Amino acid sequence: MPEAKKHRQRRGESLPEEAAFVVRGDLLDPAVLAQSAQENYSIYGFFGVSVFAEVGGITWDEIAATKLRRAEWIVLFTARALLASGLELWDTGQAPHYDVVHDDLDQLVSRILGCEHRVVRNPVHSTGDDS
Amino acid sequence: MTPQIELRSDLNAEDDDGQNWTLLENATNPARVHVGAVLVAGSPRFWSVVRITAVDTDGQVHFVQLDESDPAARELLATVA
Repeated sequence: MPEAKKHRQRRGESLPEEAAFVVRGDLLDPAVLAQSAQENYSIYGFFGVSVFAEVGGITWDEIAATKLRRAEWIVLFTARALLASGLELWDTGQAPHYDVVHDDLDQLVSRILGCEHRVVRNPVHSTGDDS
Repeated sequence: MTPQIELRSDLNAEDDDGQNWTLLENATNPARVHVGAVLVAGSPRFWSVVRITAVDTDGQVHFVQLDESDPAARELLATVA
């Protein structure tokens, strides 16, 4: 593997509780997931897909209303389901951001797609051009 | 209506400072991507008006999403609507 360009900051926290929701904005598109993971690899040296988790008292709908307010669709996983799918959750950047990680890009994408999840419309979605 | 995406990016992705990031190679016009520039980033289903905060030598571009009420966001959207 090529040398990582940058060291990715890990917060050193415990994993989210198993029942915690792990959320990602937008529909699950395999091409987008693969692109995002590859770009993460090119900067930080590991295949990771960004998500947000219910940690520190923040709930998924609060994340949807802030970090993901521009996303029309929200995908809801549980930490339990992701971990049971053979994926890792890395506490990268600032809470509540995480990366879903696997050593193999194809496995990362297929396991995310195959992991139990729900898709819901973001209750606070704003288009930004409705002024 | 979705405006033209000038900087393709995954708006879930955050850097170590909690800002969004993408790669300069994802820009339709890299010359437009400089600190302080306001443009549309994201994907057709998940986009935002953003302000560029840093462009690193390795091609990592950092930016923050602007609130819909931000005058710079309103001005940009008025030109592309």
